[in-house]
Amino acid sequence: MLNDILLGLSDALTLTNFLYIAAGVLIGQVFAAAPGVGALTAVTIAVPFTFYLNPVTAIGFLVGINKGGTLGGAVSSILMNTPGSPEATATAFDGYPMAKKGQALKALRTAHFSSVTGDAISDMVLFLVAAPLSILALQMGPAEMAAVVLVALVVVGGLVGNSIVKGLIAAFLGVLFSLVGTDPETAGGRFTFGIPELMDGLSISAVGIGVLALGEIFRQMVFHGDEANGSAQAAELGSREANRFRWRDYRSVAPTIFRSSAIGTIIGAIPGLGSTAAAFLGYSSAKRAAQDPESFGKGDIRGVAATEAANSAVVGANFIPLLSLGIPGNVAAALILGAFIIHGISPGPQLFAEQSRLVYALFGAMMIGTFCNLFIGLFSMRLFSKLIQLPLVLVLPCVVLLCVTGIIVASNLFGAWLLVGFALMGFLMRILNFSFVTFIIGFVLGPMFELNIRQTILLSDGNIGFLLTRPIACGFILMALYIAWRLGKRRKLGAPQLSM
Amino acid sequence: MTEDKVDFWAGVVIVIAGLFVTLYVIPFHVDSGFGFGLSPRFFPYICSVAITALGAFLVFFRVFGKEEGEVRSLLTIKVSGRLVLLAGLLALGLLVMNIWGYLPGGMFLVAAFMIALGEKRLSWIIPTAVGWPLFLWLLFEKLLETPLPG
Repeated sequence: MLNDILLGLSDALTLTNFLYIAAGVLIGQVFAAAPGVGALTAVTIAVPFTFYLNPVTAIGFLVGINKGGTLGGAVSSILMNTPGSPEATATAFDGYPMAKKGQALKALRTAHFSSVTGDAISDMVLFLVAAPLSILALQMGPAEMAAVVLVALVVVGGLVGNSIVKGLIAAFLGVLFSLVGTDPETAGGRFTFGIPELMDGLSISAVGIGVLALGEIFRQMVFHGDEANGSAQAAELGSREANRFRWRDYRSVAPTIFRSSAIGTIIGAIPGLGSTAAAFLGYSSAKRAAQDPESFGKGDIRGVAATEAANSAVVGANFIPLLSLGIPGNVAAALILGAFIIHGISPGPQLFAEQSRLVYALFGAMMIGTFCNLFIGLFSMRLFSKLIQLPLVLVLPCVVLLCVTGIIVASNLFGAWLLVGFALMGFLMRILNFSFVTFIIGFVLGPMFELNIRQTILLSDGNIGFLLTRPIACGFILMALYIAWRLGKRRKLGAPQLSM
Repeated sequence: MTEDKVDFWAGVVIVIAGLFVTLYVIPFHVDSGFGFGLSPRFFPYICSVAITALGAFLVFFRVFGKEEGEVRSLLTIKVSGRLVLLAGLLALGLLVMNIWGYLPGGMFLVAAFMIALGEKRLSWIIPTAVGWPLFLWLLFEKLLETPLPG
């Protein structure tokens, strides 16, 4: 065990890994800082570019983008009152008023240190919790795993979007698309329509880039096309004295940071919730805990710290269900799961037993990512305040070509043609309020869902009474039904929802 | 059109598409297997039936549920037109790439999307449309030796 940890950490601590992870953090920060692009777009586009890297470098690079993205989103929120990503929306509540008071850089520094602290805390929880959880998960057979996937699909379908029915439609649609290719048992063709390129199935790159990146870019172009031409005006950074972030400032917000980190870690470990929900919960809990809640929304440093610590704490915690159960916590984790599969790694309970060295190398890569986020953020914040003023009319067409190039590099021109269809699908899902997040998670979990259901049917010889001998599976199925019923009822009562 | 009505019509389309997949696409475009083990059609049937049933639920809830459609749908004729234009430009760019190669296709894509976004200044369009594809081409084709369409 100790040997695996040391070997894993030594695998991670190489110059190549360090450079790729640092590049990932920087790319994540840049993409997230540009309003309308987002770190998720960067992760999606980057997946195909990692094909030629070794698994630790590839996953480390993607995790770096994800980590950098949680910080970059705060830049445009604070300076322009325009969140670079949805999870940074609440950062603008107090960040922008601080910027207007001439404390923009102080707000950015608060966001930076809170984000890194939240991220580091959730990484620690991941390191401590994932291995014991995977030992428990090892006791589960195919029936239990199929039931866990069902629970995950129901939770994600119910929590994301405005209707559980629409969420489940998106989930099953994702599963259906994952079936394109050859049947795993008989090698018979499914939905290939005589096209040889479809025999290997639809690649996660084509589906992800089309639905997530191009779908969002199309939405931006269709609805904000007329505004894209202007150059955005960012707030000035203000005087050096007003912007100094001292140790006592950090100490004053430390309780807020730790509370929000705990919230973000818990939210991140639950599939379907995610950084936007964590950010709002972190912000509202900080406001409730404050003796002067009326100062929130008027430039209170605690508002920025609470939001950024919470949304960053989700990143590490998302890996808890991913590594221990093979269930991605949100769409970024689903894309990283896709990258795992591309590199021949199957996350889940077996991973700790069979490839523990790789898991600890991944933990090492995550620690490097957190360090890079801390170090690079010290220099990048000022730079991004200039960069975010680039007009969308320049940014969006360049990102479109980057998406096309990414898919050509990953597969071929046929994959690029698929982009057109998936981009339209991504756009329509956004307009019609069908959760594209649930669709992607359904697509990624589809093969695992099918395999476990097939194995359960073979083990039970088609006898449904077999389930009665598997109480854990029965428990999960009942849980899925209960969650579906509760979430459906909550929506009828008009409970708030997460849009995505 | 209110969001409830959009949901209703989305449900109708999903039911029709679900029935089409269940009754036509799966029987004719998924192999039936070898007669032992589970058929390759088994899981596609589960998904298509689930989607059809959920689509029917959506229609049912919108017909018999409480009218909550205060929010207006964003799917208008103007939006649909812009969407078709963007998808068409992307397809055209890929076609150019297919016939003449990555650089002409990339330049066309960037320029066409900039113009579609309302950019009229040639001093912005030309450097971006030439510079960005050229940078990507040099990076992948020359530096990383990853072949791009010739």
